[in-house]
Amino acid sequence: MPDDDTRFARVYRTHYKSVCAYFFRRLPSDLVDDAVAETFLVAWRKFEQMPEGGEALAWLYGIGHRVLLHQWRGSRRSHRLGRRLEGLGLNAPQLPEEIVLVGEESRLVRQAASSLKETDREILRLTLWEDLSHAEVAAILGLSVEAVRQRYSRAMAKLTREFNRLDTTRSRYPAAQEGGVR
Amino acid sequence: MITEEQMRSLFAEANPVPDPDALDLDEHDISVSLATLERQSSDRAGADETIDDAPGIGRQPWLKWVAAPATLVVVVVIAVLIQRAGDQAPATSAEQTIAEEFTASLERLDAEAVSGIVGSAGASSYLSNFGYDENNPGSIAGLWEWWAIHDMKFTFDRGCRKTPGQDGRDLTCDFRLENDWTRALGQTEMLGRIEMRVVGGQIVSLRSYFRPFDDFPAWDSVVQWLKYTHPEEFGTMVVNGNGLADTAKLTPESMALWRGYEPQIVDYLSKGS
Repeated sequence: MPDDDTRFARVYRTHYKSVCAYFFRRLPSDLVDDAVAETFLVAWRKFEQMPEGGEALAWLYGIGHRVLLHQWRGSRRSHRLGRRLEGLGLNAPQLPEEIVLVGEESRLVRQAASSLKETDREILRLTLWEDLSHAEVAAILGLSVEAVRQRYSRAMAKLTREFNRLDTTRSRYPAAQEGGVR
Repeated sequence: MITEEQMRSLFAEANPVPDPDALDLDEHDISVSLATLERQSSDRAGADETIDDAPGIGRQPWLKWVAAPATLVVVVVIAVLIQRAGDQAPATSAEQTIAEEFTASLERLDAEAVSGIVGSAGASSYLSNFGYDENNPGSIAGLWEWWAIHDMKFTFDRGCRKTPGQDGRDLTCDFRLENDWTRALGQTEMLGRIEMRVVGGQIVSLRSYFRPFDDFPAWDSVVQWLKYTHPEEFGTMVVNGNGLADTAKLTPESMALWRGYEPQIVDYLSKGS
């Protein structure tokens, strides 16, 4: 219907960059275009379920989450993607020049976050990077709001402990952390 | 030593794309992407996939004809009324019978009953929907046996209907769904639908959709729980397991473990996961 088409186009233009950013935060950059396209294709098909107003973006993130978890599942592409993401804590940069640009604190944050469960990392990402409420995160991850609240709190405590531990180790053995005496 | 408050700030600062508006994306490219998407969607609407969830809802290209010149209005309205009536009326075709035979067997999780009506292409499309393919073999019987462990209850109480815009061989069947996991989470019944194509008395294409996010209820939570509480058996029970392609293995060893852990999983979920 023309009204729906117009509304979809409006939602698309309004949130396209945010959806791109969502995937850039989680995927190697050469996989982002496909994931974004797939997300909006699913959104088009389920458009009658799209909430009005500001909730539409959280709904799109929910579809994006499922694109990562479900629609890539079982395909050859997902196996390749899985191998590429294996061991990455927070979509760590892969090119040497990018690694140089990342600050030491940021590196420690990524290292500390790799000690968390993937779901807990995603709760932190959705809350602090996508700026979503616990209720919105719960809807996306299929958890109760209380579970998200508890897991967020525990994850943040664990992340802080792990960061402090790594920071202490680094202070104690600075040469080793910077690549040794050579 | 930093505090949790400082940690929150550091984590936020580690965001690789803090400002989406700063992304270097050309407005023209966004328009082209939208046009491509609209074309893809239209193509799919006329081909293998069904876009609409229910008749009368969503984008139906024929509705645009309403805006055509007045001389066409009467013809279009009549055509629309006929099509809507066809979509919403209970179908009586042989295809309909086969579709409902399938959904009845799914309600009973009786895979034997579908052996004659789901062709190999139909079975492959159905299984690939759940992550099973040549690299990760599965079977309808195995999948349904695994579902039975969680007391999966499908209810098809609206029958099946022809899919708008197709020739009557494509059918959509809506279902309600609950299992031990959704009950443990205190969730209401999930909704979903199955789309199928019937040709020559056999189902040749079959796909399930779960709402709202096309995923099995609580699956991600259960995988995480299993990974960290029973890491020694995780590989026997789940394929891949890197968080992107987790699929339950359907081997006898895996089934026995799933059956054994079901009470623990339910207990975990009922405590708010």
